Amino acid sequence: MPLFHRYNAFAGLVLVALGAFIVQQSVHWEFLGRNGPGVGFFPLVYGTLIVVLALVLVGKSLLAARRTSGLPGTHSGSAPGKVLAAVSVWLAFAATVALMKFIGFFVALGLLVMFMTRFVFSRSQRFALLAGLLVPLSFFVVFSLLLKVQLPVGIWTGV
Amino acid sequence: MKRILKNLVLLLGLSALGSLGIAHAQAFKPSKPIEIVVHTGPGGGNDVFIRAVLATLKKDNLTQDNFVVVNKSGGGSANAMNYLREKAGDSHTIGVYASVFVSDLLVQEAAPLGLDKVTPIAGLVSEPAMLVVKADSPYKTMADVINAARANPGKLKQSGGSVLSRDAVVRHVLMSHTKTDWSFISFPSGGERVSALLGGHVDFMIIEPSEAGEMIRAGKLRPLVQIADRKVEGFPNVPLLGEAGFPVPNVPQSRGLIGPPDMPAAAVAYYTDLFKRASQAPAYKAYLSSKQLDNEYLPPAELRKFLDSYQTELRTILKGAGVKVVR
Amino acid sequence: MAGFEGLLTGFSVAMQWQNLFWCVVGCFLGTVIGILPGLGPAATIAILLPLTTTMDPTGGIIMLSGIYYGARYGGSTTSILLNMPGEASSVVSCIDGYQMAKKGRAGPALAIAAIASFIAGTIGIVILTFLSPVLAEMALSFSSPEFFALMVLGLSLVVLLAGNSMLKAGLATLVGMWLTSIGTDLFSADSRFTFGLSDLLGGLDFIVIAVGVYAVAEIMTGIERGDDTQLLPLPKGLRAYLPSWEEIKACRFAFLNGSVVGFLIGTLPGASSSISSFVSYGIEKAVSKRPEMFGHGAPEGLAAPEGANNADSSGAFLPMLTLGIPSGGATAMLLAALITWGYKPGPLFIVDSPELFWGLIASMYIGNAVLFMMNLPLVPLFAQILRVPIALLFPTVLGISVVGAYAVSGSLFDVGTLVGFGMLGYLMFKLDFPTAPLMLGFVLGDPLERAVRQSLTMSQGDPSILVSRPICAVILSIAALILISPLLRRKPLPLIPT
Repeated sequence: MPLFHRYNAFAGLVLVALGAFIVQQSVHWEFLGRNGPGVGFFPLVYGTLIVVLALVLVGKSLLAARRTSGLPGTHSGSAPGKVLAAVSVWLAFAATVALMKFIGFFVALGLLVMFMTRFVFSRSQRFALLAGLLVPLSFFVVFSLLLKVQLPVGIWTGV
Repeated sequence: MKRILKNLVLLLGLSALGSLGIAHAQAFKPSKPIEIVVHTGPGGGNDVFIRAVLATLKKDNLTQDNFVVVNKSGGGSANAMNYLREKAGDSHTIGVYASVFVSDLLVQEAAPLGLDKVTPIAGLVSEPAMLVVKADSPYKTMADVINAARANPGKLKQSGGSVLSRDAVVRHVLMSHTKTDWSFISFPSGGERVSALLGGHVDFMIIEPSEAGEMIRAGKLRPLVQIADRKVEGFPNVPLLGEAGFPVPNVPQSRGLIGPPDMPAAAVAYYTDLFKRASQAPAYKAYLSSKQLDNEYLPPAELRKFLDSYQTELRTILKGAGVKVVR
Repeated sequence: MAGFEGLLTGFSVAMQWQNLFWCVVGCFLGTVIGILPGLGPAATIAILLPLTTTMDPTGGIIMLSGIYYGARYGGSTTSILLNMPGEASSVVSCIDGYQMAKKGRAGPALAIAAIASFIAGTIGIVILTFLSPVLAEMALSFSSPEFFALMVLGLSLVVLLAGNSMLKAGLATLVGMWLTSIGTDLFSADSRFTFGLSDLLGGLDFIVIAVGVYAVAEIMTGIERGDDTQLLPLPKGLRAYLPSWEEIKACRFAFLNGSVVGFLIGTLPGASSSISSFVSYGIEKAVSKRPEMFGHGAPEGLAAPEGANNADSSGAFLPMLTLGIPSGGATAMLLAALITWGYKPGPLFIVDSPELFWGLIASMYIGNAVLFMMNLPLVPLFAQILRVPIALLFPTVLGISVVGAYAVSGSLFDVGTLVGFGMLGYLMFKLDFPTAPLMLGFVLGDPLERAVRQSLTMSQGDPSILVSRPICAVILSIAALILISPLLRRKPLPLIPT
């Protein structure tokens, strides 16, 4: 329980930082123009409110953390291994997207499919390989051939 | 004797090279589908325009080439310009520009590509505009509007697009010429601008004849002046700004074709020739006149001159309007 | 020619064989497009336009219109089954639709979506048929101050979407609103929060954020949950694919709510399609006798926005057909199509070309019926998607998300944004931050700011314009009521995590 609140407090701090950043940027702009709010008006309002509310969040979370500090802590009962799996999928996703510029959509998708089927869902190597070929192929048929949707083309692969 | 022989060989060699060069320049033929980059999404101004133009090319049998419209919307012209930058040197990519390309470059610090870097291919059309009021408005002439503006500074309202749009620029040109002042309310879409006028929330707007034509015909809008170099067909009784007593320079809304940086001259020649022939072809001309667009084909050199001078003019106007100009 | 007389003429046109055929083609294409992100009705109409120039114009416009409103039917399919909005207007359907699917009620959810779409679409067309002139005038009296009031109404719905913590909901809303200020300011051409990146000059795109926060994050949470073989429980037996009578009864008001709200907001040029689904959802929750069910698979929480987004498309035809004013990319393409065929859309369109005008409207009745008959039997078929093993389904969904994000403006930057918001959505889930307010803030932030600045320019700086005009006052009062509605209830609004 306390861990959850500490995470919330941390999130609050991040939001305070965001709000402060927004405010810092907005003060350079015109607040009130000739006929009402200028460019900086709304961002300044948003930023200020974010800072205020986020500080409240930090405060409440820290208090709650202190209140429940004696209690055992797990939030939703999710095993750390599973969280790692989720984050690793995100990392793989991010990596394949970053590579799309060079290897194109289909190859990147194939790699992602192979990674996920093999390492996250523990399928056999054969399954992963097959999936890594068939899934991009079906995308190609549906999106490129039938629907003529534009997809990222890789510099190296030209596809 | 030896000297003459040497000169002759040199001459022959040079002319051979020269003719090779000419032959090379005439040799460009598209070998794959040509991408036409548009800075709006489907349904946007340039998108509708170029799709219709491409259709007329087919109808007039001007080309067998395969053109593919590629939408790169976002940031005004920034995304499209970025794409052109990425395609530097490519012969199979062209972009459709609009006046916003020039104005964006003046205010976007993060603009990806300078105007001097793009390869002009062809100017195509220039779009006239009209200043219109609601049919039951008390203003019958442009002079009425200006006089009212003079009597009530800042009270009259014009609906228009962004502060960089042609409507805004015309406003500044007129305001500084007549030493008057009125408000400008920006709406992102044409539909909202017209609705604001029809609903009586603003006093007038500047609008293209193709958009307003039907409403004028239905008696909902009244045109006061035309903002163009010559009168639009179908509105013989609406005076030009100059004729109405306001001899200000015309602010063109132009569209045409540009290519990525370092586009091979042969490719440029090919495309500009195609559209030059188009500008004289029946289906193309019919489309232009149905949309009340002025057929103004400009070859590359003229387009370059036009873009540069337009940029200079616009810089002055925008600076005078208090817009933050960054280059 | 008006009302009934026109409609009869219209039906005689629309019922001709070739027009019926094109109607079915259009509806089918529209449904397919609605299901798949990456292709929207505007783009499809643009691609098909050159092919239709050789067609008979009546059949052509019937088909193209079918694509437009048909897409609203398909959009809910992926929202319900995969938590992935197929279209901007389907985002709100994810909230309760996906929860219904998680409870094994995927079939009924799809069916309710189809039913709501049919009822609301039809009511919308009826309103269009008989009340066009009146509503067209009313729509014109709606300008920036009224728009501001409408946006305030939308924001007041945060109170109802707050879930566990008003504080977190408020923060999420504010961040969503701030995100809309990224980009080029319309009024001054200044760039805000662009960090020198030309990709940010146009701001962030709603569908990219929505697909990231909903679909991508859902995959991550699914993996964390340890979802193993099948994604969601599959309904057993045909009976399980149909909604129960209780479920349909619960949606009675939602059908009406969606129709009216969707249509009215749809008539406003400048109101994006997601606004009507949010407002309709909010109103449904505000008047519901069991608001605590919303966000956990309340059928009426699906029916309201689904109905709204269909009625919205009917509403968008109002300015298009009565004034020639487009409401968005798709209606702009439809207008361009009409012009290509030599017609003159505008106030005189109904007078000049009554057969086309009424033929089109009549075809919309038919189209709605066709779509309903197409979509309902397809429900068990669509639900089979749930049979696909997760090991394949999850990466496929990620792939489809990329297709959708890239299609927005053809830039990998949007795909990168998708990835980023996927992580944000996951973090929000982990920390119990409600995501709906983030979406709401994003939908309303920019229109709200624009409406305020436009209004104050209209009034030369006098802020009373925002509250004094009659329509504004009415809408703002409703907003105020919604804000205090949790307090008005006899039993306090139970706060359950969303």
